[in-house]
Amino acid sequence: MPFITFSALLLVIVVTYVVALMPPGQKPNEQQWLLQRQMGRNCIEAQRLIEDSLPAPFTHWIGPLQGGMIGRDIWYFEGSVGMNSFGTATSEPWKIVYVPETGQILYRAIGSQEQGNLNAALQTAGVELKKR
Amino acid sequence: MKKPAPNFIHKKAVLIFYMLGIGMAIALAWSFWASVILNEGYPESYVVAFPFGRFSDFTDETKASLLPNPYSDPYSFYSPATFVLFRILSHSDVISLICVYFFSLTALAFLLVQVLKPVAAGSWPRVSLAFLFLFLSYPLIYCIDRGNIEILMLPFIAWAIYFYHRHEDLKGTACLFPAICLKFYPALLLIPLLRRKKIGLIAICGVLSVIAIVSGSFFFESPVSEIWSHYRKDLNFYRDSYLLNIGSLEGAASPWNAYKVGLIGLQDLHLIPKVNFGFDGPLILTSYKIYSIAIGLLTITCAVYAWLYERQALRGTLMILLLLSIAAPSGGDYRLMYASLGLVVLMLLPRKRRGDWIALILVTLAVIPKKEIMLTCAGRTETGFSDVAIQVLLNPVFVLAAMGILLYESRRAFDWEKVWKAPIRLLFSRWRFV
Repeated sequence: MPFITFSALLLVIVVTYVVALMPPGQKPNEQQWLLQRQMGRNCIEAQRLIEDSLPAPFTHWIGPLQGGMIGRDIWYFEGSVGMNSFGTATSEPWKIVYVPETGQILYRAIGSQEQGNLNAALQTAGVELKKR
Repeated sequence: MKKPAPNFIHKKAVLIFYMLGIGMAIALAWSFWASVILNEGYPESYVVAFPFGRFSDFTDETKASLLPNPYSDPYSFYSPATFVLFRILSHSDVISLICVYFFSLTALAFLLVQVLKPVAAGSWPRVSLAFLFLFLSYPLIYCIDRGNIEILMLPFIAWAIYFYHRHEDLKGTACLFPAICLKFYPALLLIPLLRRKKIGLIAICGVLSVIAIVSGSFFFESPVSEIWSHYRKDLNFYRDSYLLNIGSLEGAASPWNAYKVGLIGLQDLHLIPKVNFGFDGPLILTSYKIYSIAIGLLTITCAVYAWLYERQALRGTLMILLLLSIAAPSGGDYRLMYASLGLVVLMLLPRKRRGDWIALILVTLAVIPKKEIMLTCAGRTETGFSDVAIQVLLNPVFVLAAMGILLYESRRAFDWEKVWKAPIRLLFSRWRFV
């Protein structure tokens, strides 16, 4: 009997707690939610892909890093690299256009060293050059 | 070994309940003072986690489980079997959460009522104490607030320990099986079966868990290969953003988290150069390798201790529970639920051993909220607030110290003959299937 009484009380507390504190029920746009969630991982992957081709003496990332999805499954990121973590020495911009699903790099540039063609990569992604 | 005083368990229970009660009262009073008198918001006025993403450990996962490939969401770190459960629960977040919480809390309370018999005589006091313990347990409340699926694992683990203690191994393994499918590490609690040489039960549980996890990946619309390749990617992301970087810095009871907070603090005080917490950061990568080795060695030590050297099986289980509460390098304070479970085990140990009282106090201190002092030098976390509290540094110290004391004081109970004969016994002893 005491257990049933306490359980009933517990049920009331749980229902009140969940119903009162559950965030409002409006569902965000699923695609938008997913893109937002994918941003972090693809950003880190982009950094890795840049790191793979990092010429000496560039060793560390310095911010800011920005970008996002620019076409169907094609992502663009840009940032800068420096000789040390403080970014006080030489720093160069980098850009990458790649497909996270397959790991295919359509364009990669660190400073003046380019791999691929940015125009072609952006056209593949369906981005008009003048807009960028 | 000293003979127990008749009210030994009762005395321990009184101390635990007083400490938990006072700890929670101070935390609530502080929170009230900060919100009403000082007009502060998060984090000063909150006992539990970041309020803006309440239940998000549940709602984000149910959302991801509806995708053709749940691992398209990079924050999907659970096994495919867990995502099958999330898809089942995804029809209504509110109703599912109510069911999960009610089932878990009732199952835990029912177990507590069974085991609190030496503490309280009548059924009303016993039931009251059982529910009181749940509501005074900070890690449990934190877990409810986050909506983390570990709340569902806890009753299964608790009942498994209970059945193993009563030598009902089949029931114990049946309880542990769902918990292993949800997150892998409760498998460490199969050690009581090793003590009884029931290798068959371990094998069956292991094989069924693997089958459940692998077959879970066939449940979703995307090809299986794609599901596993994305899962691998997500785990890499988890390593980079949570283990190496500062994700979940504000609420994890792991020594690794405390180390990262220490590094940020030293960097803030200009005592060390700026630390690169990225995947290319040499210091953080080397430190993480060292931490992994250290925690691996600690796990082996605890497993061997629980299996071979500790005469009381329940003390071995206690050590594994304390290990589980701090071993994972990231996660939330909810992992301390295993320390709360360990506290119940510690309270119910019938035989007195030196160091038990100190260990009991340390574990109780670890599971009470301590958010009164904020470490602002640790900077802003992923929540966007300076919400790293002193407990991030204290909790791993308390739990590790309790483990150390329990290990050290058990040396007299060690069967040294068993130690050197262990490898021979392993080879020549007869193993039972179930």
